[in-house]
Amino acid sequence: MRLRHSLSFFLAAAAGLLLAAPAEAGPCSALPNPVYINGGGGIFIENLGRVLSSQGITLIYKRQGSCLAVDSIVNGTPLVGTEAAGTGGMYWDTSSEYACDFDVDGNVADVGISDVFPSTCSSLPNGLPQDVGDYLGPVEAYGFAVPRPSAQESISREAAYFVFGFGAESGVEPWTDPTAIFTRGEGSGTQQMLAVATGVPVDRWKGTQASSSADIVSKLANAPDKEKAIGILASEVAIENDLTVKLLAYQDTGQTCGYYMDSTPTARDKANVRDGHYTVWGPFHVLTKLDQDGYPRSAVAADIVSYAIGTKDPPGLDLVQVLAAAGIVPECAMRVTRTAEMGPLSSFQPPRSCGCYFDALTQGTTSCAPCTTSIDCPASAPACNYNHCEVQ
Amino acid sequence: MVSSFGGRTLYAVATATMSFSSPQESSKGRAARRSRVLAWLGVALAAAAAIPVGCSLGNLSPDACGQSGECAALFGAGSECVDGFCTDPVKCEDDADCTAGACRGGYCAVGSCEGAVSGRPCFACAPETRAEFLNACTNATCVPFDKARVTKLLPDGTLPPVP
Repeated sequence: MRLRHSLSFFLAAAAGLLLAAPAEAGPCSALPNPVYINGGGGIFIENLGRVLSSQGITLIYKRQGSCLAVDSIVNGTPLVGTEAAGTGGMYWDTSSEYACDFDVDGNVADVGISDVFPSTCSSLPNGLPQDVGDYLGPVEAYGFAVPRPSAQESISREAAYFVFGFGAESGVEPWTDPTAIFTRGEGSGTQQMLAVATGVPVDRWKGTQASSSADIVSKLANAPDKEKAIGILASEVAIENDLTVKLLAYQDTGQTCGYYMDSTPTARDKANVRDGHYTVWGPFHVLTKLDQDGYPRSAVAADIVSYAIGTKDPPGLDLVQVLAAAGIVPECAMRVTRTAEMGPLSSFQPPRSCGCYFDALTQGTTSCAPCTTSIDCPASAPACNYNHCEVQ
Repeated sequence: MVSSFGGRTLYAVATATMSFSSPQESSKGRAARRSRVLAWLGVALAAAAAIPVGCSLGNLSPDACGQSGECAALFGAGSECVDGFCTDPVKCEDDADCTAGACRGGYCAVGSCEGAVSGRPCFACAPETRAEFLNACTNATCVPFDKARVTKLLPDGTLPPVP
């Protein structure tokens, strides 16, 4: 009896293990209607992926540096990698995330999402090829991150120049240990953006190179001396890891004070990005191949572009809410704009503003009048957008 | 790129030479403005070989001092760019003194107008230039970075090339 009980228990446990074991990743190309996307914008793609899966479309995403994303579209460099090596693709249905393997010869990307203008990655004396479209999407901010326990609260542009340009010789305490200064490499859009912001050439950053933004977070979290550690992150990643890291206020040249991306250290309203006080930001660049008429070659790519630039709402998905939660600012909530990497700012009034809604989502309150239709709105703010009265 | 070292030098010299006066000035305000104008001219002549003349956030080029926001950021709320040079900031006895007039903002603290929350001068009108956007009045928290922590600027205040 005792033996049979033990045998039964063993068989049940083994069966349980077999049921619980994840299936090996299969080829991405075998999935229904695969659409290949790479680069940044992870949270945006994940949410779109879940929505489109219900339409029989599989968004397959490879998270990698912005300049690699640009290369994948401009030069057609295929996406390669496997789940086992941690370099494969990710895809979603409405409830779960999965992994898949790219084909041995790779798969050509349909869409690339870059944090920076393509010309920041490499010289394009004649601009982008005529068959490549660059569409500007939501805005992400970039900054300098330290471990949460660090007492440091701000950094200036000049200080960042010395820290990341000179490393051990920076002279800016406490950031003088290159083993605790974490960088990303030339292929990273975050580093490309901050290179332009600080003036440190992207290929001359000093410090210890991390393999990814997640690796930056890990290195900051595990740094032996939390005061000496500093790295670079996009706002989306910092928010995902805000128990571990914090972003420093940034004081640009000519500024009398340093500003967080948000109105306070604990807010999530991106107020200073939206009004120009925080200067290191740029729109997502959604890159895709165009047909001879100048339109995205695939219908799904065209939809992704439309969702990104805000001319179309994804079915059943509140993209403003998704972006707000991720610390990304839709164009409709911006009050400044720029047309070049870290270029001059100018005031901006979105064609269909969602600023009030964005405030309500991130601050829990807004001074804007609520509405159901435009009839409910005053003359000073006659447009009813997202149930709030806006100027337009 | 603006030279912050140049700005500090100019402000220090301008302050030191405020004793200049003109018998033709009939108001204390215009006299103070003339003093500042003369101070800027004196510095400009002395540094003409290396630094362009004018007033801005440390840069002396005349056309850069076309925006009052720059003067407000450097000298205090209410300081305006007139004929290429910055006037004195607004002196006040109460908050109403700070909000009166165009492009004046902040609140009255210890006799001069300060930014709403940061306690620093700010630009209160709709910003148009980089300096005005960066220093526009706001209720947002700000954390100043101690510039003394940057210890390896070149003698002229500029940044050395990255190795």
